[in-house]
Amino acid sequence: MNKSTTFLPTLMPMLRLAWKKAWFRYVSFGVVLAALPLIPGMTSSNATILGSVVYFSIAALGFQVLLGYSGQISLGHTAFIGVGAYVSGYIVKELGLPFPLAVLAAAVLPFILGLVLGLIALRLEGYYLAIATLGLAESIRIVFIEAHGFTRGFSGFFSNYPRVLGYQFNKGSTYVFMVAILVALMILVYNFINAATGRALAAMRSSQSAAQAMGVSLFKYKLMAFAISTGFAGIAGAMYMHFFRYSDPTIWNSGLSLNLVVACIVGGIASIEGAVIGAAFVVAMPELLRIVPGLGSINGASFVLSGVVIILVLLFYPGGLVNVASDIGKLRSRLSKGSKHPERSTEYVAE
Amino acid sequence: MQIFFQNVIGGIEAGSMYALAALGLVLIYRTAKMSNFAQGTIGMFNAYIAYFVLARTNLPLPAVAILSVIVAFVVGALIELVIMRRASSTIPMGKPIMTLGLIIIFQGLAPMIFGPVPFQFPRFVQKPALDIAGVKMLPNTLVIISVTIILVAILFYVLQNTRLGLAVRVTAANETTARLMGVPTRAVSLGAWSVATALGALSAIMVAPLTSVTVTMMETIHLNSFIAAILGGFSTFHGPVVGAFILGVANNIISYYISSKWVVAILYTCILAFTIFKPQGLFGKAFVKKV
Amino acid sequence: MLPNKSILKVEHLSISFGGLKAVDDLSFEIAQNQIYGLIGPNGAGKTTVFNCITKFYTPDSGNAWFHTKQGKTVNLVDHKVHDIVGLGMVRTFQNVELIKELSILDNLLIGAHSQFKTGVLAQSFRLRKAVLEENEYRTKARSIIEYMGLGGKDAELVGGQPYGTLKRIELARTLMSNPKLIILDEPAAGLNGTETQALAGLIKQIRIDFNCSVLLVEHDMTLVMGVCERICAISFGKKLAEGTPTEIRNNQSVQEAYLGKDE
Repeated sequence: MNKSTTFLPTLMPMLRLAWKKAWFRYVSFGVVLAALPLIPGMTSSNATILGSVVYFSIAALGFQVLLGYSGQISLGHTAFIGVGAYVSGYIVKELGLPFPLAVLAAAVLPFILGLVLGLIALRLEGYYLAIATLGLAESIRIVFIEAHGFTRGFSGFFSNYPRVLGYQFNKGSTYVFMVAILVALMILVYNFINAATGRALAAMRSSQSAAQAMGVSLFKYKLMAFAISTGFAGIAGAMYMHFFRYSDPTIWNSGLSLNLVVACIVGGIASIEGAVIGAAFVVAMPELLRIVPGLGSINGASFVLSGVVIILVLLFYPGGLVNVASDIGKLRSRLSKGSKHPERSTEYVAE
Repeated sequence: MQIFFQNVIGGIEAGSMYALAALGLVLIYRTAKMSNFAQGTIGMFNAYIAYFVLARTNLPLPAVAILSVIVAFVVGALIELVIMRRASSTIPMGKPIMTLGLIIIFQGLAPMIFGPVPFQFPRFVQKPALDIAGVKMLPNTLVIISVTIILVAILFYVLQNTRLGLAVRVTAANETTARLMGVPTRAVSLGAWSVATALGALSAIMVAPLTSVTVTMMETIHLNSFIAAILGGFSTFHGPVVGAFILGVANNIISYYISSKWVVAILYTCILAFTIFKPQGLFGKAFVKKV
Repeated sequence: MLPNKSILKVEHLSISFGGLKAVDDLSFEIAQNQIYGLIGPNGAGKTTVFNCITKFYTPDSGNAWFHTKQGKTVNLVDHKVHDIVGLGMVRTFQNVELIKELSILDNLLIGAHSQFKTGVLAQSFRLRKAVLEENEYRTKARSIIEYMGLGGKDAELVGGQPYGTLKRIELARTLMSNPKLIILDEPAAGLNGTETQALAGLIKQIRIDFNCSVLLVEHDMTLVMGVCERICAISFGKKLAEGTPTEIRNNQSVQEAYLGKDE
């Protein structure tokens, strides 16, 4: 008791100071996320859903760099996730090479693929990238089906939990590993978004003329954002392959690409946290709806609902879910401003 | 040689469907300055409706086809009025992303309402194939090609020779100038949405007998109509139509002579490579952006 | 090609849009540390000239020789639009192009974009050199904000600032790139008399403090006559006359084409 009373007052200001640092917030978030499966009563299937959220968050984070920060749209990102999945699986299972190497290759190959496609499709304005990626996804889907030696086609490709330096991961530790990768990537994205690169992207979205006049090559930054997003998609694919230990061509369908758009828009455009919130929304909503009486029995209700939500968000709440907490805060302060707690409103103003 | 012509005719038939859809895409792209990614999906939904009307009533097929095109016309107007018009203050890319939302909604609703079973859709003309110098041709094919040619001709006539067409072309060239000149640009964009959606639906009804009515029936047509627009160039109305016929024929010839498995990959790679040399498409002009 | 005492020499510049000649065989030359004015009635093609030498448009013919800050002589026509600022020429826009959702400080930092040497990887991992570089330009941006009389506003968003302030921020942003030549597109547009007078003083001061030349397109004759040492008057893309403010004021054809019509 005595110890904690003297300890707390010194700890709190330190925590408050640390909380201002993005990396500290992200690491704390990661710790909580990693600890979630330990909650009593958490079933194995819930833990699987969490894994799904984390892998999809990685892909959505990369997609946010493309859609949110560079203002480009891709409709075929599922192909890059799929390539990442198969490449990492093949390298570990068939070539017997170490897992970290497989993750690296799963990031680099889609990155190069994105670079090449972007070099061609990004020279033009408009929606060429969207169409080019759609075409690529269709072509790659056929590769997934036909290239039996590489993907096993519809029979499916089976793999194992990762093994790193002699340590064999199980489901729980693979999940923690995925969370660590997600947090690391969030910090990296935060860092470059809040540096010259992020400012160049912001300029490009807001005023292309100003960006160009200040030396920003639109082509270079669009290409960079696209290649980063494909690289992240590849990493997400590698995570999928080694958490779910299975892949077949039906998983990498066009609906998954659309879900990435939903995640970034509904979670919050141009927001790192928004990508994660959106990914959780996309993955968790079908599960939550299953509990709702009436709706639960209808197949695909959540899919339709996510289509409705994306339109509603764009029409009425373009900032996305990430703003809900701060907007409620503002609303509360406005409500309490009148009579009861005048001091509270000044607190918000000071912030 | 007969086989070659057989493939060409099949290609022109497929190209007709791409052409109608591509024309719809370009209409919206040029007047509303956005991409309607949901055109194919809405067409698919219309094909389902047409199938059920046909199955439950005694209406003849042409009447059902016309009815379904009218329904699509209204649906297109509603999308513009209810959603797109209100979205002027949303984020950049917000409008095309909303059409992605529409894809999700219609793709999700279709199996819920109509069930997961594919439906067989009858041909417009059930008569057996004609034999023209060894080349077999279904009368239905002839109907598809002629309907397309007639429709495209009417649309181009309206675009080039009427006040309405002038309004559309002026809006496409520069919306601000058009508005200052008194062109009712909102009505133009409403009309573009209606006509485009109707064209998408017609293309779906044409393809329905060849495949069957399923949720994914329009995916290839939709993607190919976009590719056709890229090939022909988004900056003209005739470019995408020509692109569509080239794409249809090339698709069949590659599929027959090279590989039917890899035709899609080969074709897309070729067109991607083509855009390296001619980024504005076959008929496209480069724009000078006003600063 | 370009004498040492000059900073920019435009030769036989022409561009047309849909058969209409917007700039027609235009030539002029700006000396080092000179304040040079480009005037002309509405639609004379002034901004088009700017857009040609900053490569937003590619001229149909003609050259634009420039002494870069790296000490080379280059033809701007051969460069890409985003490379121009790195060579030492920076511009503003007629309708103020700023990034509304960013702070004033961040907007100035965008002005230094061409100066940044670290790449996205160094920034992602916050390598020492990236952090040092960022801090260096932040310090510089703060001092320029101070210089422009906007001290204390660093963290305020650009969106919602009054128009006069926006103009100042845009001018401040040009200074971040260590320019040899600043080109200003109607810097006095939308400003009142006092603000315009203050701007005239500021432009002269900037030329001395930052050791650069200034080229400006302007409608406001008091500003042009007050600050420019040489003026080129154009009409329908063609040069009418070039000379000192007094010469231009007394020029017959300029009066007809521009002053006569305007008053």
